[in-house]
Amino acid sequence: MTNYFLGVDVGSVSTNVVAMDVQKHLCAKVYLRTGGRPLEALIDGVHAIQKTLGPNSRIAGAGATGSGRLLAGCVLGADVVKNEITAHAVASLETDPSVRTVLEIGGQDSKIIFLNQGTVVDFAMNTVCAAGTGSFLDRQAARLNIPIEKMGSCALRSQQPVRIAGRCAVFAESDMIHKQQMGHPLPDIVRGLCEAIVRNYLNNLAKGKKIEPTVVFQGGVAANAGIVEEFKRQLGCDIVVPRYYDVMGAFGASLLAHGIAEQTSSHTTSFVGFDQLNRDYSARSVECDDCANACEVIELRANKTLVSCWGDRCGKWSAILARGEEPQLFQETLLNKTIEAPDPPQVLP
Amino acid sequence: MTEPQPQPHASPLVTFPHMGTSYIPIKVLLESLGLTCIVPPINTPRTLEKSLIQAPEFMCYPFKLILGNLIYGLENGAQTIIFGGSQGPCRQEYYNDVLQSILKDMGYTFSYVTLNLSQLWSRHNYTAVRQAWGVHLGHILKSLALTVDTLFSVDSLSLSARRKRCRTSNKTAVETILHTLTDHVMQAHGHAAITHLVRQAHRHIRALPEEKSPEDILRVAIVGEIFVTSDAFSNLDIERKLGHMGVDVTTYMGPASWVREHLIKALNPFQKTGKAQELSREYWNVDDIGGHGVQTVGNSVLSSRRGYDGIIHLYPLTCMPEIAAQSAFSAIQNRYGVPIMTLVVDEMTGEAGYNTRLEAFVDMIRMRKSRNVNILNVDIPGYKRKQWARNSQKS
Repeated sequence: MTNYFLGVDVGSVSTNVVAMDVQKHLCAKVYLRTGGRPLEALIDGVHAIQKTLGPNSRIAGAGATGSGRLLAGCVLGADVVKNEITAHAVASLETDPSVRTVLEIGGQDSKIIFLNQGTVVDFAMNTVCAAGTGSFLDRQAARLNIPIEKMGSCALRSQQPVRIAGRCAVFAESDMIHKQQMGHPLPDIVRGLCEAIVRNYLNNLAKGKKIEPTVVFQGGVAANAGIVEEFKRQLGCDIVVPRYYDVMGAFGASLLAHGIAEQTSSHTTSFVGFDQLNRDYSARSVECDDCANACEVIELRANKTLVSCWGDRCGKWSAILARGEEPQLFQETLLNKTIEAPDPPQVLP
Repeated sequence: MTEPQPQPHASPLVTFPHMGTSYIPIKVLLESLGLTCIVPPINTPRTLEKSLIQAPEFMCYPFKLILGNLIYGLENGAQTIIFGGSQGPCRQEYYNDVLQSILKDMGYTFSYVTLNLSQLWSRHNYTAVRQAWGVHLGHILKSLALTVDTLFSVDSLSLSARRKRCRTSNKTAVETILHTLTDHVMQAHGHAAITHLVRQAHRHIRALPEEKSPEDILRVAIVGEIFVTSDAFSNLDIERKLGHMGVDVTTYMGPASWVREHLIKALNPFQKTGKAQELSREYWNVDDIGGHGVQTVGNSVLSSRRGYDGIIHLYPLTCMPEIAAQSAFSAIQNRYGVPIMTLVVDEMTGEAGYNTRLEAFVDMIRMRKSRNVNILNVDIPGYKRKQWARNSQKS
């Protein structure tokens, strides 16, 4: 029986699952498109990993990250549910302990992480606009009819990149269309887009902060050689693209799970097991009108049994399972509003 | 669109917009002036349903919420709107005019009372209130005293709530007490009843046990635009989220600090400029860049010097003064070595990205604190220094 640690990263565009052995070597990885169905992608991914690992394997811990980490954590019974920043930082420190700056461009988020002595000391994420992230590149590749994998090599063929506005996705697209109608060759436009994305990234995220080597570039967009070249040119230093650049978030999650297992010797994982993943999941949202906040409460059920619920500002629904109440009652209580507040102050004017 | 139905009522029906918990003192003010008020339900996505269609597209988020509140009030029979304007080069100056013209275009009839909030003692405020409702000066002053009393009770309640959230292990208790208070205040009337409720809630919160040890508590200051820093709905409940992550939150802006500044300190004829303004001089040589831009910079410096573990900057999308203030942050970070994160809010309910940023920020400052990493080797003579900076020098 070999022990493995499972890491999942449920992102907006891709869902990644990895399995790592006790010596922290990555043994299996799956990169799937989320396609708007995070649960299905996650379960497919974990099953694919199970197939790769073979029957003689045991999961000793599981970690979840990404924007869908809450859902993934509930379904898997993850030991640790962490944000992407920490997961990415942990993963890049594992691959290269001397790393000082992590550039990460994912589907919907782009981030920059600054490290010093193995600690995250500062980070920035894109604020209000998704210009210059993976989904924008994806869309442009589809519009230009280039497979997304070939976008980088296309950009590298450029002789004279054109100027594209990178500040806003809408402006960038209209710039690109204008340039294409003027007759500029495709590689020049694609290279111009790469240039604009890097310019916007450095302006929007780095904001004059000092980028020190070693600089690591990870996330799905690191597959694009045009962007890597642009980073090298604009930063004037070498960029390291790690071997598993596309699943670094998931790798980080498995490392975090490993860390938890190491901390306590008598650790037993809360991972539900591969068979349990075939349960019939259903999630639905109910607008609670117990108070004026009108929260959208989400409940997740597996085989009709309540697994978790979240989304409430007061915390009384999320606390139901923790308080050990009969989960089957949840549906009735939420609909009939009969749950008593835990500690109601007895006040009357 | 429904025409407001004039209802037979002894006193005129007044409505006003929300800003965090400010509805409690405003309710006391209007009721002690002898008016009946229609308090819109606290801000929820429903507030925005009608106002988003009517408001100018790139108008600030607070404006859209305020408009939604006023539409609710007018639809429920209010005849008068009371709203405060202030001076300064920021869009807020135009709120009154734009609100009135939008509501008139929507077909409502109403009278509109504007108070000058920058100069609360101005004669304009007195005449506005007297002309609208015929109340005499003594009555106004008495109501004002009751309002200020309520305001400070509410303020100390929220201080206790912030303190307790990060120290108690019962995550729902503080929220339940505050939500119950909201429900009860909406039904109660008058200063005595309302302050009784507020103080009762305060006692309940103080009675909660504090289980967590002080070393585990992180201190984070929230700076930025006054509306979004004090309104829980528009900042996606940042105080609660941080509190449950074990963070003791400090906010500088809010109705209480406004009243302290513009009502109480304004009585002092030798009044000096505020501490925040003074400290912001380190980074720019202006008195005012509109809104609370100067205070944002000053408060960030103040928090850095007081040794906070981190600073979170909040502003509504397109808020010009805060965008200007943001430019000072990299200099502040380099000098004091305190992490500052900016979050921009606008109409959104998808909290995943927002929560990720908050969680990552708290993770980071916790890691920095526990590993005693002295990142910048900054030395600020004469000021309280960061604990980790001191510790790392010892070792």
